[in-house]
This record gives sequence, structure tokens and C-alpha cells, in this order.
Amino acid sequence: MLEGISRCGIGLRREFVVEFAEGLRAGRFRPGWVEITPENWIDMPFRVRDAFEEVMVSCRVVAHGLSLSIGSPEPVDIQHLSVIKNFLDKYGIEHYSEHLSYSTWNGSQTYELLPVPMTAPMADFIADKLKRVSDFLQRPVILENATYYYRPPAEMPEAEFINTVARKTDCPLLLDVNNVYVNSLNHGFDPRAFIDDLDIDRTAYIHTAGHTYYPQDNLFIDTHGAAVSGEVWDLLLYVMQRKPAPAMVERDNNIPPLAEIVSEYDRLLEVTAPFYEGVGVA
Amino acid sequence: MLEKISQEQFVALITGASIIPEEKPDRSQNDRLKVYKDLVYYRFYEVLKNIYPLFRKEVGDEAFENLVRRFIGENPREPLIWKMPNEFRNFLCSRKELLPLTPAAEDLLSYEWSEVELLMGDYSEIAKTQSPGFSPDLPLAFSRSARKLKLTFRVYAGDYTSSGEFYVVLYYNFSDYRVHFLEITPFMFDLLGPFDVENGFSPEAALTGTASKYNVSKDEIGEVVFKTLGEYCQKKILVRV
Repeated sequence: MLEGISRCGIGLRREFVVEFAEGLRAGRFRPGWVEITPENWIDMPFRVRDAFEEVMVSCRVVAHGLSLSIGSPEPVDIQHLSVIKNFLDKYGIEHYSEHLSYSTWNGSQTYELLPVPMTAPMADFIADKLKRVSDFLQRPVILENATYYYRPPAEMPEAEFINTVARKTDCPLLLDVNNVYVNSLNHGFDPRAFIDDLDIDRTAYIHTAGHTYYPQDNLFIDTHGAAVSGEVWDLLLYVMQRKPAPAMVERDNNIPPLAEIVSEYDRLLEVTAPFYEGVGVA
Repeated sequence: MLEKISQEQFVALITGASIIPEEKPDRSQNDRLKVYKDLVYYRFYEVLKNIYPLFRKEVGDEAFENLVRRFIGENPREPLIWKMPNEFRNFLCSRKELLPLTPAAEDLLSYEWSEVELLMGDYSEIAKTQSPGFSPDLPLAFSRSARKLKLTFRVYAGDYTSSGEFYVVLYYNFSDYRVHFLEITPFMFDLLGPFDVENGFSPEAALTGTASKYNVSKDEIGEVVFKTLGEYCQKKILVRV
């Protein structure tokens, strides 16, 4: 369990941070917590800075990074990691999550989350790197299952790979149910069986999101730019029955007005509320 | 390590990096490789398109897309994606043979990047301070919320054809949160130079030096120059140290 993080949260975006801060001040809307992406706020347009800082002192916060590239073979970029650490320290953010993927190669950027080979040596390598990152940041890194459209070399199923890395580092998991669902469609497996195989007790919090089907490629892409589908809501319920955990809806593209974000949040609250009763997720 | 080879091949293929390993990843998934190639490309393209709308319009869509693809293959290294367009600009300016399409390309890149840098600055301290009352003796510094540019084309006025020497000050406007520009004379550009110091510089001394360089009477132009500098203080282009 993440200290101070309970029930439902929202992803804070520049597009509505000013309106969100006004809502907090006026008592109109206050989610259980907010998730922010450090890379989007380390530098920010000056016009939103005051609003962002107001949210940081008013809300419980989880940071969700994009640029760690834990699966890259090169050593951690300490200079960049220092920037992340300074940001987390500045705003007193204790909880930090990242993706089980990589986005750089020998320091070159792709800005895309790429699939890591799911092998035992890779699990060892990532576990070792993750420990170094955690030590440097002085915080555990919460690891998120990622989508993959290309099947990387694998000597074990994805759930086993995630479990192996998590066990070796004793790290909590950020379970993205939309990613599970999208991968299940693209690679033909049963998403519920995947959840059953996952060491679900490690789940610290949950992402849901929307995805988009591209018929020309016969592929489902994790766009984070659409409403959450009925199947993903169902999968969320399946997860919550096994491990009630704080949850949020992720939106990174086609950011709707705050009112729509609040509606999604209310739906999430409604769906998850029964699971929070009496299980310590106050 | 097998994993490393596999990852290296994968990245080389999806970024179009110059060195493509001999062994290829699983070709039965060619369509999926193309998906990643597209995802990476559009990640760069969307950011660059938003940062450089004038440059893109001037060079044309097709040339712009080719420049983006070329850049992706050149191993961009900036971890923070909002700063990546500056690396793109530096890459193009260091490879001028890639920019034969429009003479104003470098100026457009410089101007549009300066706007973005100014929008993204942290001016918490500057914003809090009242505009200083102007005095020729009190030291002033050129603000972090402003930039001086010397350009070959008046790109800020939409003129990409008549070349010359043009001078402009870009500054962050604290009232409407936008970047504005002021076209200035070569004299004013030179006059503002000495204020680029942390401890500030006296307007009186700056005027003395610049008037001497231009061989004009300080007494004749002093009133006009100081009035202009006073306006720059109001706009926080110049700030009290």
C-alpha cells in the first residue's frame, strides 16, 4: 500500500491544471490523489506554474516517469536521474513509478516505450539496475507493465517476467489493466489468466485508460486518448475482486475538458467503491 | 548478450539509425516493426510540428518530414522531449547542406525556438518584483524573460525574402502570458549588450559606450534612449539587480 494514496486519483495535465487548482480552492473537486509525469513539469509554461505548485501542496501525489528507460543496456543516466530526484525532493513526492520497458539506446532517444526481451538474464539486469535507481532516488520504484506490439525474444511468459523482476527487487507494481487488455488482444491470450498469473498482491495502484483499434494494421494501440472501454472496466473489476488498490484513469492524448475528467473519475469511484469498504484502502 | 543484440537491431530498424546490424529481428513481425517505426516518427514529428509551424510551412511538408526522419536517425540525446526541438535546430544548423530550401530557415528555427524557451522559463522572482523606476545611474540587467536576436530576415514580420541585418527583442509578457517582439535598431541592440551581466550595468555607462561607438552625441539622444530603456523596464526586458 502507498502511504497517503487511497481510492481514486486523476492524472494532472497542463491543459486543465489552472482550472483544477481553481476547483480545489473553491472546494468543487478534490480527488483522492493526483498523478503527475515529472518530465512534463520539470520545466513548464510559466502561466501554469503557480497552479501546479498549488496542487502540489494541496494534494497527495504520485509521480509517473517516462524517461528512466530501465531496460536499456547502458548505465543509468545519473545526470538526468538527478534532475528527476531534485524534482521529487522539491515537491516532497514519495511515490515514483516507471515502465518496464526502454526508450533509449546508448543515450539516443526514441521517446517511445519499447518492449524488453523477457529472459532470465534481462530480468537480472533490470533488477540490478532498478536497485541502483531506487538507491539513488531514495525511494522504491513502482514498476508498470507496458504494452508491446512487437513480440520481443522471450523465454518466459510476460507475467512470469514481471513477477521475476518484482521478486528480485521487492518492488511494488503499477498494474495497467488497459495494457493487459491491449496486449491480450494483440497477442491472443486471456487477460484474466494473465491477472491470475501475476503476483497481484504487489499491486500498489492501478491505471485504466482508453485504446484505439487501427484496422489497417489489425492492431490495438494504447493511445490513452479515448474513453475506457467496457471490457477494460470489466477487467478492472476482476482485478479489484482480487486486490483492491487505488486506481486512476490515464489520459495523455485528446485531453478532454476537466468536466469530462471529473465524470470519468466519478465513474471510477462508483465502480471501485464496493471494493474499498473494510479492506484498508480508506 | 543475446538481449543486447536483439535490442540494438530493433532500435536501429525503427529509428533508421545509420548502422543497421546484419542480423535482423524476427522478420515475421515486419508489420509490427513498422508500427514502432511510425510511433517513434510521430512522437518526434508532432513535437517538432508544434514548435516550428513557420519553419515547416516555409520548407514544405515533404521536406519537413524528411528532415524529421533524418534527425531521428542521428541519435538525438535530449532526455526531456520539450527540449528536443533545440537539438533538431542545432542539428540542422550544423548540417547546412540539409537546408537548401529556404534562406530564412536558420532564422525561423532560431526565432521559433526562442519563443518556446521564453514560454517555458521560470520567472517566479521576476514576476514578483515591481517594475523598477528608471534611473540612468541604477544598474540594470537584461532579463531571463527576454532574448535579443540578430537576424538576416525579418521573420517576425513574415518576410522571408529580403535579406539584411535585423534586430529584435523577444520578451515574455506577464499580462497575457505570451511572447511579444519589438523590432529594434542596431544602436539599441548594441546598447543592450552590456546589460548581459549578472551584476547589472549602468544605463548611463551603456549609453556613453554606445554613443561613442556610433559617433553620436550622448546629450542629444540621451532623453530618447532613457525613455526607451524605461519602457523596457516596464516590460521587464530590463530588471533591477
